[in-house]
Amino acid sequence: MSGMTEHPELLLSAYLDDALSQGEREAVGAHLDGCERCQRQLRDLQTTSRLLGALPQLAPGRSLVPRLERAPVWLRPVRLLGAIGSGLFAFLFIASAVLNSGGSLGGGATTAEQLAEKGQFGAAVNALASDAAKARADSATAVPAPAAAAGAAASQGPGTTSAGASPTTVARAGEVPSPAAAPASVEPPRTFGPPPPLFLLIALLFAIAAFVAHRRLHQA
Amino acid sequence: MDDLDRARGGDARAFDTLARAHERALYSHVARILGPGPDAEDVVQDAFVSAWRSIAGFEGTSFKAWLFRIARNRAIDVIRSQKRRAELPLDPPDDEGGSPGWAEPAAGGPELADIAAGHEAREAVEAALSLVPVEQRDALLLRDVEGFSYEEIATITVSEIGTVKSRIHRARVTVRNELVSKGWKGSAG
Repeated sequence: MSGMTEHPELLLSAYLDDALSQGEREAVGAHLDGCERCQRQLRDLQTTSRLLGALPQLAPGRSLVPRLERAPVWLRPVRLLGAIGSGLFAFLFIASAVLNSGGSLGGGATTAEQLAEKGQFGAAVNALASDAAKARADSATAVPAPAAAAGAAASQGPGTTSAGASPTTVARAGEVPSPAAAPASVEPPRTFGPPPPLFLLIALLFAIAAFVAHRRLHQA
Repeated sequence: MDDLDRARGGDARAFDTLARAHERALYSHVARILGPGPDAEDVVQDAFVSAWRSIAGFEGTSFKAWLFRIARNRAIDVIRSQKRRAELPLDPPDDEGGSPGWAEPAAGGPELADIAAGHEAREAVEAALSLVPVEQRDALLLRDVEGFSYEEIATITVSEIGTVKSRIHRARVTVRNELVSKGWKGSAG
């Protein structure tokens, strides 16, 4: 490179940035000593570089560093179990609702079912007892069903929940007929496990757990 | 153990500290390539996420250079996809021999050095920079704004040293000529 006769224009920026080999640097330096034109170009490049270096940093409109909390290892199983549990209990809710309503499809809800749906569980239990009493009375005394049921209904009250099944109550039922209690003896009630809303509540809890776990995993 | 070592070990807070230290510089660089706005912000955010996911395997010493490489590559990908849609080349060929033209200033303008501190000068430099082809601009910013060495720039941009020298020089000459075209006489007056 020494004895450079052409203007080393392409090397001026690298010369300025001290990015030339020793030999190139010496050759360009020697040329610059005797070349006013290349000296001016070097000064312009230096000034341009300084202007660029003085540019202010630009500010983003929002924080660009994402939240990087690593998700706990147990979060994935929780999400999976939550999803499975939610589906399972939703299915149980539907199944139990269908099964429990299926008993009334054939001939309408029994009095016990109707009372249970209204939340009158004590009365419902008594109605069940009266059904049992009626069944026994039918077979033992051949008394018409409404009368037996009426006797059972007459025995409603605290402490009588098991009386319907006793022979004593059956006899009294036969002695004191009352047509007013007839609806309580339509047919035996049928219930399947816990009430359906309980299944729905559990399904919702599982779904919430799965959703929260999913959100945490997604953010991580 | 420094933040980089801790981040390599999965310490999210250490990575957060590192990322915040480079957030604005990284955004400035990407914004000057893509233009300021949501695209540049998304690129930087994606670069942070990508860096976090792969930091365990990072074996270099300059976290900043590595981060710039990730972000810069994503920014170039965005431009490539935009150009592909418009069927335009990323940059005109810039590595052939020959010197870029050197515009002669008109007489009567101020010295470049005289306007270096002014607000108008900064706007003029930004405008001149925006006219530089993308890969040249990228190399020039990495050198003059971020202060990377030519070797680091070659690594960041996955280029040869000779290409880096050429891009930086051509970009500087383009900016200088653009400023001269605005009325500055440079050192030749």
